[in-house]
Amino acid sequence: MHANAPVLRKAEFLNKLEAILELDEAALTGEEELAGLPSWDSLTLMGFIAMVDETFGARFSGKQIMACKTVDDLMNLLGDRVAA
Amino acid sequence: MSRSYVDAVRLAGVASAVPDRVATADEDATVFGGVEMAKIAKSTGIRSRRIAPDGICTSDLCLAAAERLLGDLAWDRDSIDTLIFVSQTPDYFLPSTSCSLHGRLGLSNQCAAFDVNLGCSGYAYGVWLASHLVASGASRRALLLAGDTGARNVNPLDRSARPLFGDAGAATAFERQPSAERMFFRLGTDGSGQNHLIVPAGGYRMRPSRQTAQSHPDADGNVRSLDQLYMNGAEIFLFTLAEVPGLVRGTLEDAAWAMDDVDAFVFHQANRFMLTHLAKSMKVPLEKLTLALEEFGNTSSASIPLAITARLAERFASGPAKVLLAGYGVGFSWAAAAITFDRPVVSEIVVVDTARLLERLASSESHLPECLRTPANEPVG
Repeated sequence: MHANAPVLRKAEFLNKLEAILELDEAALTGEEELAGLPSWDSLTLMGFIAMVDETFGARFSGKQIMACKTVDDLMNLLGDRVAA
Repeated sequence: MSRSYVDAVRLAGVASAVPDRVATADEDATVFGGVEMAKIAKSTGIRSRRIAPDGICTSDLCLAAAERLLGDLAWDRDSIDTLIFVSQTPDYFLPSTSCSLHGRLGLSNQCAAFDVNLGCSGYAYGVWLASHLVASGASRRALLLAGDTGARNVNPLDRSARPLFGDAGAATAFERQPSAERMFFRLGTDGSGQNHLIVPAGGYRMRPSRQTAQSHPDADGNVRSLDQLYMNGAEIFLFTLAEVPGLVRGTLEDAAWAMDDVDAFVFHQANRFMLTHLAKSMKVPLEKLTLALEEFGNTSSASIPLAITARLAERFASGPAKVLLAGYGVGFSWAAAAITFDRPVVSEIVVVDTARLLERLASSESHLPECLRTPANEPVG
């Protein structure tokens, strides 16, 4: 891991996702299925892509993102950049 | 990456035309629900779009823009030796719509005319083509027509696409001028993105049929047929983030322009969320990001010239302006141009009276083949 790569704590990552999904803070645990979240749609997916780009300068393929089924899966995309 | 520059080419003028019918986000709300539409409009930034009624084509809009532009430029029609029509909604697959437009414009027989099948990147490609033809001496005066009636390709029940697209046509004129500032271009393609923005049927891969015309809901509940546009927003956004910052930075480097030197960034007007995210990540000051999609939606290859005529006329009149154009999307295809606009003619946007135009197209003076002329007062059988 590079010295200046931003690292977020899990709670911070979840807060960013909660903001995108317009949920209350601390509403998410990570185990939630994306398909079950009412506000998870193509627009919030764009918001997630933008957040990841802005926060980490990271980008993933469409395949990688579509393979995510839960909030934890989204988090695991970031690997070391989110401290569990 | 294709990189090039041209000298001694002047972009002499630009004009655009839109149909008079307006579709609003409120109307879309009756189909998709108010809360849903509010979310979509907030993300896309699109409040209204212009829609061409059945029977009106991109060519009609481009023609209106061209007539306005040629009048404002006072160009002799015989002096035009190149006509380029950029669109993915042509009148016909055969003949080229540029040939039809050549006839309708009354240009001389000593004029080359051809179509270019590109969308989001189409205008920037057209500027590259026209400029190089003039710079090489192959053309003396080139007229670039660009536009789309994209709204027509979309299923009315497709929430992912219907609220986005509007119709427009634009005309841009190029000629030789020894003192003109150098123009810089970068272009690229990634064909692996072909399926993310596509009308699958209707060409020769799959001919149109009763089956291809049948609508089906997808996993998100959006309804469309194979004859209609499919768009994967996430893939397109990922592509945009992967290619556009480098494209813009590279073109600015070629031109030796610092970010601060640029007077306006005019990008293909797809979606405000993507545009502002791009601008922020490239550190483009938001006040220099030209936006016109609120009023007109995504007009495909017309979106850049439409934004110029809607937002930059005053700035251009006051003196030379350094502008970075960038179009990117369907294909995937992309192109950027660094152009110093030196007080070009910027025509007032033409609003086409579509009812009157439909009457003219149905009349015996119409250029249309007889089989396509529906007399205005004949009952539809």
